[in-house]
Amino acid sequence: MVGEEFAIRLAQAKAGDEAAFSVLWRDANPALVRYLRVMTPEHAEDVAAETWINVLRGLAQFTGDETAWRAWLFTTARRRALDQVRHRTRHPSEPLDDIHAAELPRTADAEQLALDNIATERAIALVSRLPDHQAEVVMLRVVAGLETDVVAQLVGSTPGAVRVTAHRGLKKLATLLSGAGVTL
Amino acid sequence: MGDGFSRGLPGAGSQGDPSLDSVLTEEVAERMLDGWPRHAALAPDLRPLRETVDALRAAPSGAELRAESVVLAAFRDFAGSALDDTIVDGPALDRVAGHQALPREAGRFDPLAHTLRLELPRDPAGHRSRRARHRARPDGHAAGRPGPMTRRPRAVGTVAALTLLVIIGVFAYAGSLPGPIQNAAHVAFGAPPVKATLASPPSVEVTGSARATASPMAGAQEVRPSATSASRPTGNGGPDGPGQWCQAYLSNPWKPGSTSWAKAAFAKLSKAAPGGARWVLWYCSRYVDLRHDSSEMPFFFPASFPGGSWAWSPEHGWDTPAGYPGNVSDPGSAPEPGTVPSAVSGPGPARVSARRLSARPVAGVVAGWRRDEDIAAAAWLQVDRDRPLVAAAVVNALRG
Repeated sequence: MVGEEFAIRLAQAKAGDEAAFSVLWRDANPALVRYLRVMTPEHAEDVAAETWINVLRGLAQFTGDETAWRAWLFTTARRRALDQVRHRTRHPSEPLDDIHAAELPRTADAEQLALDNIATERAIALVSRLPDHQAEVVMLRVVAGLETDVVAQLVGSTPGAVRVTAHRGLKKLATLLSGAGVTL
Repeated sequence: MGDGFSRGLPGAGSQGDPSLDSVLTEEVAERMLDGWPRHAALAPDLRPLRETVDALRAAPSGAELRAESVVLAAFRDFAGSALDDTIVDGPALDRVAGHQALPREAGRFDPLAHTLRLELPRDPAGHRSRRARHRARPDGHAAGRPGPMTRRPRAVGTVAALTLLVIIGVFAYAGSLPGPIQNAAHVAFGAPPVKATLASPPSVEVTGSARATASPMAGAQEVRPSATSASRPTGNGGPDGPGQWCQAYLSNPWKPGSTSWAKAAFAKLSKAAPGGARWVLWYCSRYVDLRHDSSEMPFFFPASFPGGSWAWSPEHGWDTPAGYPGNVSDPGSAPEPGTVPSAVSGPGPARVSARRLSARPVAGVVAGWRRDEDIAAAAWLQVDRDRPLVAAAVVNALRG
C-alpha cells in the first residue's frame, strides 16, 4: 500500500507525472500479478497488461482513496480474468518441488530475496490448489489488501459469506501444509 | 455468486478437523488475513499457515516489475499526446466501495487525446462491459453499441466540422489555397505544397515551427554525400535529386498510398536505395536530418527494426545497420562521424518532426500495412523516442 502519499501520487499521476504513476504501479502490480496467477495462470501477464491499459484510460476520471483504487484495479482485473477463466481448462497445480523461482531483482540482499521469492512462489502454488472461490477471496484479502466488505462487493457476495469462504480457504491451506509437510 | 468460476461453492472446502478448528477460528483467520502481528502469540500448528500467508505479501520479484517500462511508455502515450480527436465515451466505472465516477477532469491527462492499441487480447465475443469503447476500431468495424453520433447536438457539430474539412481539403489538393495556408495544408494532411519557382524557392515546411527552405538550384550543388558511391543514384546533382526526393517522401511518410503522398519520390528512392524500399529511410538519413526536435540527442532504431538496430549520435554519427545491403565500406556512403548529413544549404537541413508523426493514430498501421513502403514508414515512427511502445506495436503488427 502506498499509504499517506497515495492522494498526492494519484493527483500527480493524473497530471501526467510518470514518476508518480510508477509509484502506484510498483505498489499494485506485484499484487495484481499474483492474484492473476491464481485466477488465470496462463494469461496472468496479458490480463495484467490489459488491466493497466484500462486503468490508464480511466485514470483521469478516477477519484477515491487507496482502497477504492485497489478495488477498481482488481475489479478490472477480475473481469478480464473471468473472460480467460471461461475458456481455460483446469490445470493441476504444480508440486511444490517443481516451482520455478522467478527472476531475482539485482540487490545486495539477493539471498534473502531469493528465499522470499521461493516462498512466494510456493504460497501461490498452494493457494492455486484451493477451490476457485476460496482462492480468489484469500488473494483479494491478502495480496490485494481489501477488506471483507469490499471483497464481498467485488465478487458479488455478502461479507458474511466472504468471511466463511476465507476461513475455509485458510483451513484448507493449513491442511495442505500439514499434509505436504512443508516448511517455508 | 455464480459468476463464471467453475468451482468454489461456499460449502466446498476441508472437512472438519477438530484440532485445526480449535486453533483456526474465524476470528484468527480474519486476523491472519489482515496481517498477523509478528509479536502476537500464535499456535505452533498455525505457523506454517502464517508464513504462507505472509509469503503472499512478500516484496516484489524482478519478474513482477519487469513490465514497468512498457506500462510507463503507455502512460506517456496517454498523458502526452493530445492531437488525436478520437471520441471516447467516458468510462463507466464500477461502483465499488469509496469510488465515484465524476466528469472528466481538465488537464494534461486526457484519455480522449490518443488512441493507443497494443498487442493485447481482444475482448472475447459476448463480453460487454460499461467501459469506454472507441468509436472507430482499428479494423474498421464500428463499435457494437451506440456511440456519440447518437447524440444529436454533437453529431451536428461533427458533421459540420467534417464538411468544412472536406471543402478545405478539396481546395488544398487542387492547390488553390493561398501560399501559407497551402503549406499548412501540406503539412497537416499532405496536400501538394506551394509550387516552387526559381525566383522564389519553395518553402518545404515539415514541422509546425521549424521551417526549412530548400533552394532547388543551390541544393543541387550540395546534395551529397558522394556521387561516386555505387549506392547513390545518378544525377543527384540536379534539382530532382535524392535530397528533394527524401524531403518530399518524409513530409508524409506515414500515409503511403494516399494521393498526397509523394509516391513518385518514394519510387525513385526505392530504386536508389540499395536493398529497395525497406532501406529508404536509412538511405535518406544521409540527405535529411532525421534527428528529433532535441537536435543533439542521439536516437536509435531498436533491434526490432528490420536489419537490426542502428543509431545516430553526435559523437559517432551514423552506425550502419547489420542488414543494410549497400556498399558500407565506401567512405562516401556514410557521413563522417560527428557530422550531420545535410541536404540543403542555407538554414540547414530540413527537420521532420517525429513528434508530429507520432500523433498519427496507430490504428491505421495495425489495420494491415504490409508493403515495404509501410514498413519504411513504420520505421520512421520508431524515430520518435517517446513512442517506443507504439513503435514496437507497429513493427510487430507489420512483421505479422
